[in-house]
Amino acid sequence: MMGKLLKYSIITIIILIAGYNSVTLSPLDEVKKSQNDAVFNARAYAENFISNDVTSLPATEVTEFLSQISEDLDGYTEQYGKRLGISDAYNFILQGTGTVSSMEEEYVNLILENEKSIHIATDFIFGNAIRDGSAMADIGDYQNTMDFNSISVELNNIVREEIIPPFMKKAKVGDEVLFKGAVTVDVTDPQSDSLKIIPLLLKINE
Amino acid sequence: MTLVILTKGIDLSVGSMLAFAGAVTAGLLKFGIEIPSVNTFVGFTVFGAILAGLLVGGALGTFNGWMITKFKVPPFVATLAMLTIARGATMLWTGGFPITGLGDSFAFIGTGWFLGIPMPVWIMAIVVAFAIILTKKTVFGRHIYAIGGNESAARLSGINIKKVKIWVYAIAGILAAVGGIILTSRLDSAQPNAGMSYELDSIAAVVIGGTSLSGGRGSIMGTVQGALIIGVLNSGRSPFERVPFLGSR
Repeated sequence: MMGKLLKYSIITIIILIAGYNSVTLSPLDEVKKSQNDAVFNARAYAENFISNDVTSLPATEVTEFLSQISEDLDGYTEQYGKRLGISDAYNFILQGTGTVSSMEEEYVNLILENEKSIHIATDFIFGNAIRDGSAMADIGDYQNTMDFNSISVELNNIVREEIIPPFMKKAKVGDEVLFKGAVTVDVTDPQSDSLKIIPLLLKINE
Repeated sequence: MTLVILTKGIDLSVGSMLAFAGAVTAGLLKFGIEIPSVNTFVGFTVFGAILAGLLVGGALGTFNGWMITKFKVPPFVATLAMLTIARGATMLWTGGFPITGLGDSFAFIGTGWFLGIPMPVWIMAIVVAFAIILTKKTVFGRHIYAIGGNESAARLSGINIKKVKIWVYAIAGILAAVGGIILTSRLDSAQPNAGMSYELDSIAAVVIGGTSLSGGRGSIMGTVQGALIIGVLNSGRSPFERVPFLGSR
């Protein structure tokens, strides 16, 4: 009898200790309020980034970038590229100046100072190049992957709606263009001759 | 799975139970439980979330055992049903989306190192040691072999077949939950489709390790060797994955 009592007492104590260390109780309305305060607005976040952070965003000179990846693609991307998880796609923020040589349906072709060419994307603005290249957001900081992905969606929307149209209205072959943007390089299929930059800043030098 | 097969049973639901236990652990850790009727939010510590995950695994396993012993449903059918139930529950619990960002202390379970050895290896060593002692040094372990060898004889010998079988399936559920928690921790994400086809790997490891599907014969160390062989085969398959249909499962 005493043995059983002791056994059940020990089991009860273990359950109570485990329970005490397992949960924390707090008023639901307070938790809800703090959650509502923290509701994520991807559009505002993306707009704030484009308006305030793009100018000061560190970027690699595009000519330097092209020469480095042609010399040592794997080493350079591993050292300087930003990627999500174990992806083969590395992202970079690039800047430079080039002359418009042609205006295609999906991109504008720029000839750089070193005679190489790059494409500025003007259509099909997709992917995570801006978000991941700029390292503006860390996946661990978000409640779910939808919030994290919505940043890229909104950044791409802003580029599509606010950055490309005014540029396309003014740009013509022969213009000198100052640009800053994001690019993704897949090390398994780099296509370095036709890298497509998602523009963050496009300025025609008058 | 070894204990289950030793009793001449099978558990097809381990992959789904793994996913559900991992999702429950991640969900409780990340979102807690809201109880509006008493205006209370129950937040879970890492310890609490893990405990809840293990309880869920144990409960599902117990349900398997109960269905098999109480209603005489063949293990293949009962656990096949649980495979679907647990997968559906996982989808409901997660809403079909991964639960991510579970924190560094939880990630330590799957990615941390202790004395130069990864944490999952320590956990495996503890589980293996527990299983060896259970099967070789306890009455319960001998009962498992006896039931698998000849269930009628075991019953006539006074062994409580139902109780042993329910415990065996409960242990399988708890260990599936352990796998789910480690996997969730390693990925820092509870995936609704985690653990797909893991039951086949698990059964293959047990059988390759020498445990008889007819029950009554086999060992935990054999299963460890079987699991290592399966692991090597899975890793060795990777170079072929660039060839469609050759490396893929």
